[in-house]
Amino acid sequence: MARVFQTLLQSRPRRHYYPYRRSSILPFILPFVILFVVFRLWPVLYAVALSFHEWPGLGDWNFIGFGNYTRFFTDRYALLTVFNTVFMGAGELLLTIVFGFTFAYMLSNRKLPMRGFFRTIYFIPRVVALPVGAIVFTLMLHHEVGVVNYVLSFFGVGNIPWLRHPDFARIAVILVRSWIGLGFVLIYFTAGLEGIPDDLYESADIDGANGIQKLVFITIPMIRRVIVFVGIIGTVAAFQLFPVPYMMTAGGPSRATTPVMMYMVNRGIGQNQYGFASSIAVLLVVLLGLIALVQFRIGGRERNN
Amino acid sequence: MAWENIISVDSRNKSAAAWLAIIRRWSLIGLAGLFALIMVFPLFWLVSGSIKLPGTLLTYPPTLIPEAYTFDNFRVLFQRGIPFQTFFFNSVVVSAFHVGGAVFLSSMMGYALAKYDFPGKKLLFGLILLGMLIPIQVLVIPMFLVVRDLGFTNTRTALVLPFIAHPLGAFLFRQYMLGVPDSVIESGRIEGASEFRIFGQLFAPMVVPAFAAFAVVDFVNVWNGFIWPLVVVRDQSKFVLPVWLNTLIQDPYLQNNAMLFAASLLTVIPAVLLFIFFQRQFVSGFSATSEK
Repeated sequence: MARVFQTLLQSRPRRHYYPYRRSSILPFILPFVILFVVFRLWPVLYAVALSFHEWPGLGDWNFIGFGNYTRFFTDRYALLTVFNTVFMGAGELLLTIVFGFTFAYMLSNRKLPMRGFFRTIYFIPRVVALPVGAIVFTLMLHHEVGVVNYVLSFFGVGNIPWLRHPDFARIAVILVRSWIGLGFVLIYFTAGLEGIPDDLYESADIDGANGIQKLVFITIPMIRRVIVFVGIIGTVAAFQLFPVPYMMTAGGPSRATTPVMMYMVNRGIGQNQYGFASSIAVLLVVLLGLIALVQFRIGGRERNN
Repeated sequence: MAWENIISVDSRNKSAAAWLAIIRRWSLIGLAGLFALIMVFPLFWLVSGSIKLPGTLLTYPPTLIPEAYTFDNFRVLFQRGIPFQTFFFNSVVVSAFHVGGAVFLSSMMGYALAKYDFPGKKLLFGLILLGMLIPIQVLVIPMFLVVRDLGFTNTRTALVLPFIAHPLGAFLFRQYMLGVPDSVIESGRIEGASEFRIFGQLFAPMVVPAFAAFAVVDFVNVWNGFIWPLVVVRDQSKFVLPVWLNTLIQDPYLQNNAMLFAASLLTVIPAVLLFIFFQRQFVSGFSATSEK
């Protein structure tokens, strides 16, 4: 995404040596613009306008000022869903960064045979639908007969009540999302590791650095940017958390796995509180817009270096 | 004497170092293999579960490779009230139009942004950037209301039309097309070809890699998409595969978990096959789109 902003600043006007009629470019632009305005721009404006009203989906809009927003920030359930989202998002981020880096680091080692094969295997879960991941893990994590508890029993771990305990249910969601999301992170770390010049390692060899020193003093600092980037993308992705808890735990137990998205859809389409649901959408747009801005700043700094 | 000692110590160290290298190599392979097993295990479990006899999916201790297997779990999917092929067809049609439409419209928009000057271009480009930075999922509620106002909820069109003006696609195509020299276009103009023909016949063939990378990623996203189809389509006969899986899991009369696995496997297979055949395009597509 950093590249987005770099190239933005590079665009420059071009001269056209052979003229073309202005009208002939309309077919290139119009269909896209019409659909874009109707289905992207209009919904944003719609949400902003509706967020200041109460509306059950029929009849007149009832203006209530910032009522929906104050309701969101004072509703304990709403705030819990924010906490759940952040908790599960942070867990997934931690897990995918640690393992994504480990996998990429192993794959960057030229002594490892069949690197292409391993990379394919590590990446395949990325194309699995989240609902399928939810189904498979639901049975794998069954507290009595699940294969995960069976394997853990060999290590002396007692039966873990995966989907029946609030914290373990959150961890279960994290596991499914990490299994699927890891391939994405792996691609970025692999690219980052390939970008580190070999002579850095060679001069470290001459200085007699061991493997761990090279990892700590060369590799990790060199891919710090990738970590930040993956972290931002992962944060944005975390706020789209929905299918896995929806199908695995239906948001429970005791609402512990209800993410913001689920709360929003449930309040909007489930309970016809469209004004309130719109205010949540607006808050998410603003939050993710701010995150994009942070990304922009980082991208800008990268360009100046 | 001392001299010999030094030599022998040195040679002993050498062989120790060689042994260490071998141990390191094999522990690396072992670790990579272990991780590969863990990553692939859920898929293996899915395959093995889908051919287990009804009622034997949840046995303890779990059986990795079923002693008795059956394909009945698949067969019954084709014999339900609404059979599997209905949902498969829905998914294929929606994905095809979604990907085709997005590639078509977004590439033309990207082309216009890269190669033409027109009033409002900067504003439009800014809006497209904003559009691609905000994930569409957070807009499901207002989008649902817009589609409802336009009167086409509960149609397969609603799964396609709102998405084919794909801002990320337009952006990616613009980036890629900026790198193609203008001389291609100018040579077409000298020949007197129409702008549309220049784009279709001269220019588009040069950006096929971008088309492929975008198309495979867009395909996986729409094939696996869940929230929007769940919200906007009510008729079961119009469900796409992931939403259908959800109705199966919610079905209180469904006793056979193995059937659920069979349905999941059939949902996954097309995406996995596509990935295996177009691995390169996937990797470049994912790294370009940065869509997690």
